[in-house]
Amino acid sequence: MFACKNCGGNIIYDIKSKKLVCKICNSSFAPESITKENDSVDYDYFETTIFTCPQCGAKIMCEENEASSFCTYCSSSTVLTSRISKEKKPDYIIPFEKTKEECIASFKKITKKAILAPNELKDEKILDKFKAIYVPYWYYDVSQDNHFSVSAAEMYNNGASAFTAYVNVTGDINGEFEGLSRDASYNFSDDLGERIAPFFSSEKKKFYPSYLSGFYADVSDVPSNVYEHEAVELANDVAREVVTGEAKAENDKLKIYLSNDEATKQFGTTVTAKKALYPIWFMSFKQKKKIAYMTVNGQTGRAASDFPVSIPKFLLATIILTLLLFLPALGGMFLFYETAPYMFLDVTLLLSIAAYIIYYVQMKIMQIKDADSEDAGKFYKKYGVVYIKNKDKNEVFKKMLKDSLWDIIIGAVYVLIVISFMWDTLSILSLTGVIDVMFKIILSFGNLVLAVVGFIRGGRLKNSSKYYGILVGMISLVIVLAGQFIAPQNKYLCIACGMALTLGCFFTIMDLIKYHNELSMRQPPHLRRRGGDEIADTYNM
Amino acid sequence: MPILIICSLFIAFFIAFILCFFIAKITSTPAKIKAEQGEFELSGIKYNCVAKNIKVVSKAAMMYQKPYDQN
Repeated sequence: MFACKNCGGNIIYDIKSKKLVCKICNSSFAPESITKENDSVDYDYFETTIFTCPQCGAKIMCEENEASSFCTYCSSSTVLTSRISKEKKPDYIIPFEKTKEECIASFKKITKKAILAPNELKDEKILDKFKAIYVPYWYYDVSQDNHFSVSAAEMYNNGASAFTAYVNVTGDINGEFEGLSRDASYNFSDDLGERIAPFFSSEKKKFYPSYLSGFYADVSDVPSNVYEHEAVELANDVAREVVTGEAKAENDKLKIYLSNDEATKQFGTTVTAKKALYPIWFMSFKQKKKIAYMTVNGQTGRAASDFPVSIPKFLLATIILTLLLFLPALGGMFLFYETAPYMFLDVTLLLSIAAYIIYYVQMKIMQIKDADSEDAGKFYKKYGVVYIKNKDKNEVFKKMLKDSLWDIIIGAVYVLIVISFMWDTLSILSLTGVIDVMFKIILSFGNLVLAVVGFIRGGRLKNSSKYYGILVGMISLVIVLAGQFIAPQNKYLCIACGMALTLGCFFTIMDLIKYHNELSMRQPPHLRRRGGDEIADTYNM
Repeated sequence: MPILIICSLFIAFFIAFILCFFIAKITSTPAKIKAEQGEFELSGIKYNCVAKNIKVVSKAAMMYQKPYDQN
């Protein structure tokens, strides 16, 4: 707690006035003028209270006692243990500029678009739980100062012949980059950090502990080398463009080839990392043992969140749309009055193709997201090595092509079969003929393959074993296959197969919604280690 | 007639939940803009990068004749 110089009362940082204000006598002070006794003794460290949540293990710095009753990271209403600690001072801080009201207004703008998100996220009482947190960031300064000599090529083409001249481009480069930032907390995902970026470093201030009065602050735990290469790469990209631009003034046919490592050597690129605290309005929304994080940039007001889907809202929207679509569907079926049961099975089979392709593709996307392989901080924590994203578009494309080659071949063949089936159905040559039956068997089997492969992929997802909707889908496909072998001309069997397909696909799509909710919510990072939060309040959706 | 109604209802339901799935996916995961795709962006940072005394020095040259165009 920081004490008022006039009355000894608690003073906290006021976002609007950008000063520390006493709650009792209304005196205000510049943050730089307020220190605790021990702070002046040690310039590199400052004294603060570290609260540790007994449920999730998250650690958070706070000057207020309020933090002792509620964990911001796992939403637990529990008594947090606290200890006085000496923490290394960050170099900079960007103070909050957006008030809680402004933060809630920004967040409401994005919740308006999320029409199927839980209503609780639009509830004023829930939104009041937004907490102002300073999140630790690495603040990289990159400098370049060197005499360079790089290879380039001049290319000419006069139609009949091509001419290439290899040249050396030499010169002096001088570059300074300040304010390249990445979050230094495992608790905070790169994805959310990137979506609320940028923070404008021109507003940064030298850190004084008094800036934290009235706020929470997360403790940094990601080493600075995790993102260093990204800062170097950006500076090298800019320098390469500058050199190319200057060289082209002499010869506009020049092309410079320079790898990132070579650029670092030639431009003398060096990087230094400093610690900074950035302002983020933060709210955790708890459902069972998972947390969805809602974030708003405390400097610019930019909001970001992955919204879970409310199952009751999804079902309600489905019912409303069903009622709206019923009459057009009935009108369509009237056109095939005589052959309605067979047409019904054909249409449901076509729709089921769409559903299983969606399932197949979504499972692949979710598998990538579930692996957290693109979060550099989490990647480092898991494997102990720095994650370097491949920025070469050709290389990325080749890898994607190699990984998805079988998907593409199978997909192309399947699309051809589907088009043939649609032609067969629309031409109404025969809805019960041998060709039609053959198509139905092939497509049902194809759907079954998509469902099985999707399910196997799902098995690799964490916590996915409890979703069995796809099994209903598989059973319905087996029923259709059996129906086509037993009595394809039986109209009642066709109707039953069509109904089974519809229900099977519905449960399959529900699995995807549940997976989406699983992945849009994060498990608090320390929760697994601690064995789970058994007593925290939960909100029922 | 009851068969037509049941079949229409199921088809409407099928289309409805697939549409709802897309609505749910689109509205719950805001699209990323270019600058948000895992790379540092230049907005928000201060930088100054200058190249001076640029010289272009020839090293070697290579020429090749293009194949004769049959057309």
